[in-house]
Amino acid sequence: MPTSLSTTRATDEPSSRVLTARNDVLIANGLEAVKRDDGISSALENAGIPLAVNGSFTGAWGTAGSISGTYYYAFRYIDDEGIPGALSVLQSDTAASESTISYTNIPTSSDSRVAGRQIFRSTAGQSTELYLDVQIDDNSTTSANSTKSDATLSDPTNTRLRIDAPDGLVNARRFGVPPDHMGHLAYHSNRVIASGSVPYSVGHAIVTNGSATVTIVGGTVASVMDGRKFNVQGSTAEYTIDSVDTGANTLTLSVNYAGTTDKFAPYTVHKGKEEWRRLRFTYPGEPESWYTNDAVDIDADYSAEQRVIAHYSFNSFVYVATQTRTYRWTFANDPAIGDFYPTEERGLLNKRCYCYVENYVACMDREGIYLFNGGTANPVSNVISDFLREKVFWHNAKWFHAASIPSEETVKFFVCLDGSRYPRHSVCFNYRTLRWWWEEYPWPIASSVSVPVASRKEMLYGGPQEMVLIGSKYADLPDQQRDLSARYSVSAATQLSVTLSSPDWLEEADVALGPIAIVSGRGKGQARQVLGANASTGVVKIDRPWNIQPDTTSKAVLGAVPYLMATKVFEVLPGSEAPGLELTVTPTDHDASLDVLNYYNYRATATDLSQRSLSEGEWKVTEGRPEAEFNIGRTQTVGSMTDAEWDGNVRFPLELGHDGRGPATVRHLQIEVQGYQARDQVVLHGLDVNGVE
Amino acid sequence: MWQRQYSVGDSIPLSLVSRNASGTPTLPDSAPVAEIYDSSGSQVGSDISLPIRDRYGRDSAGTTNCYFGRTFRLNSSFAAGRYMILYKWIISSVTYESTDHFDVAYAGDADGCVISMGAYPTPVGHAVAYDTESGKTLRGLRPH
Repeated sequence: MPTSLSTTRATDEPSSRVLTARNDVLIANGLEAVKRDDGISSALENAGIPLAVNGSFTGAWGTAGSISGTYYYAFRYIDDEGIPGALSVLQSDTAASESTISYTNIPTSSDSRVAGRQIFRSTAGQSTELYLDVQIDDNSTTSANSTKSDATLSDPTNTRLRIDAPDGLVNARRFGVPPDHMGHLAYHSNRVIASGSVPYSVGHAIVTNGSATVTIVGGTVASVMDGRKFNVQGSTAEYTIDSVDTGANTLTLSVNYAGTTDKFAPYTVHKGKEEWRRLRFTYPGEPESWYTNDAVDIDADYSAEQRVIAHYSFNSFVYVATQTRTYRWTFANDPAIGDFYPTEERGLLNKRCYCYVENYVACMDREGIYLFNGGTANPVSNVISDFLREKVFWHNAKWFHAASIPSEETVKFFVCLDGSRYPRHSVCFNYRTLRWWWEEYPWPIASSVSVPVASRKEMLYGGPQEMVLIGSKYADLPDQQRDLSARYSVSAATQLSVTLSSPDWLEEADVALGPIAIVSGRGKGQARQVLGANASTGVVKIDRPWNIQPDTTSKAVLGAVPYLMATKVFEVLPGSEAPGLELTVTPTDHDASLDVLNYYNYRATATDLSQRSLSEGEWKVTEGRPEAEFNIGRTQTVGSMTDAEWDGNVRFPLELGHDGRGPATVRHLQIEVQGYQARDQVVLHGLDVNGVE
Repeated sequence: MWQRQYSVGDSIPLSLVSRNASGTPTLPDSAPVAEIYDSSGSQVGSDISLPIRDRYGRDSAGTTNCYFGRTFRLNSSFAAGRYMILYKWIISSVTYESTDHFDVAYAGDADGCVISMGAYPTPVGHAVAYDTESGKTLRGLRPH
């Protein structure tokens, strides 16, 4: 049973996760504080330890003694692993022959990760290096005393802390918290790097001229928006957000809104333009040390197109991508003194639209899909550019994602080809055969990740209903039993259900939410989602009404995965014998069939292959239906004879029917093979078309 | 209009074009609201404000499209049965209404889609962590 780590995460932006050198995982989405998962605890923690702020914290010398001089002191928070936060601002007090420094009003932290405080003090007269004076192993004590002499403080066994390193770099205050406005994290050269300042535009804003109050409708006001900027889209005026009210879902601007009152204003909340082309990074080996000045910018172009989307590590460099361009970032030890070199004018659609493929990075931007070798981009999707331009719904591109499947030598880009919020389709590319195809899924697939399973990498996919699915060659339903029938006879049907004979699933959950398809008989070709399946009665409820209600002539398949293959357009050879085709398939061990359709002369609709119903051996055509249906089961029954070892080869004449026309009028011919795969994999070895070129 | 059958955890579309009495798309006085009622007439959950979509979109006549919508995830409050969506909007102090219907046919998982995932080693085995539409983050061990 999975462990619930949090129940209140923001969901308007996908998260980015990075494994650190400490084997913790940092999680960022740009809409809330970066979180940390140590892999063991049952809850997420805030990444980074809060900055120590003095407030009323005071150290005062007293009680007669031998200590004299000006002493500097400060404190910081630590967690239960001793990971520290940044040191507070130095304060000082002068001792005049005294013995005890009393610390009072020691601040506590509201962050539950804080498990203690450390108070550091200098030796007399210097503020370059401090030493651990008091260790408090709780987050509640508010006072403490120390009588340590300079000799005790500076003992080599005591913890010491330089304010700045000998080379002048910041030291004591390097332990900052990760930036909460950046939505992408990646690891490189022993550092965690953050990029991709996230703009928030969900819903609309109610803005009133002369009022500082902005109400967000259909979006969620988060506490991290405090201090960010607010824009009404189409206006150049930018306002600082002074405070937020997460209960009322309102923002309060630092000044009154000066634009036109609008009850339905499209808006953006963002960190500030200076963060749009910025990357931030940690101290090496310290994934939770984010000093605020440790940042670099790529060239100044603050148009929305040139906002940094993400970055990735590849071939010992870091590549930083905007929507339309990729830069190579090189640095030796210090990222702050590295250089950016523009590479190709190709970028990334979002922070999840890239994956590693052998010696390349497969990426997707608005122009399409390309393979990037670190210097040049190979625009492999040019051959399908029309498809991408016309079919992809770019509106929800934020949720597109990429997956690399080495075992299949395939990359898949999950996109929306309909108006759904999350991708229900993928554009697939086999980088060995250079073939393209697209896939449709019965559910949204909103995320993916590669995991080691046994000895190889497998892809896991994020499905609906909190399902995590593993990709495989077979239809993979939740808790699917592998011995479901290949196909079921329909004994009854209503608009929103079908009754299957001899139901053999044990529980409703075995088949619920999976697909069901009518593969033969009345209603053939319809597919629906199962929303209920009674294992006793065989009644299967579906999500949407049948267009053509099945009857007792119908056969259904549970867990059916549709497939479709289309050939190129052939030209019929003049004077050749009548065209025909020859199929070679792997015979299936269970009932299965596939359909062949025939398109003449670039028609959009398939040709009726028969003016009357006819069957011969492995195939049959049905009057009024365009397809020829082929039985591809290993056991074939022809009349009274049964062949239990069909060889998988069948020939089919294409001259039947032609809508009443003679074959001489057929100039161009295209073949489609389609069907539903479930119990057995359908393998088409060959499709030979005679009389064409 | 009847939408379709859903399961708990599915997201349903809530959408309308705010029109006046003449049927002309007209911006309302404030954001329209959707209320969902079960078959006994009890409201499920609270009012749902609908944000505008494509604020500056125009039809061929130059009229603002006045299209409001969002998706709404069916949580565990939605038992099996038929539900009515009541849309309300106000134009110049006149209230307008329209309805949609849908059915819930399967219990499902109220947490919805898995929207982000990550995999990494932990001291107790390889883990897969994932975020759901409901705002949960979960961690499972030793996939498959």
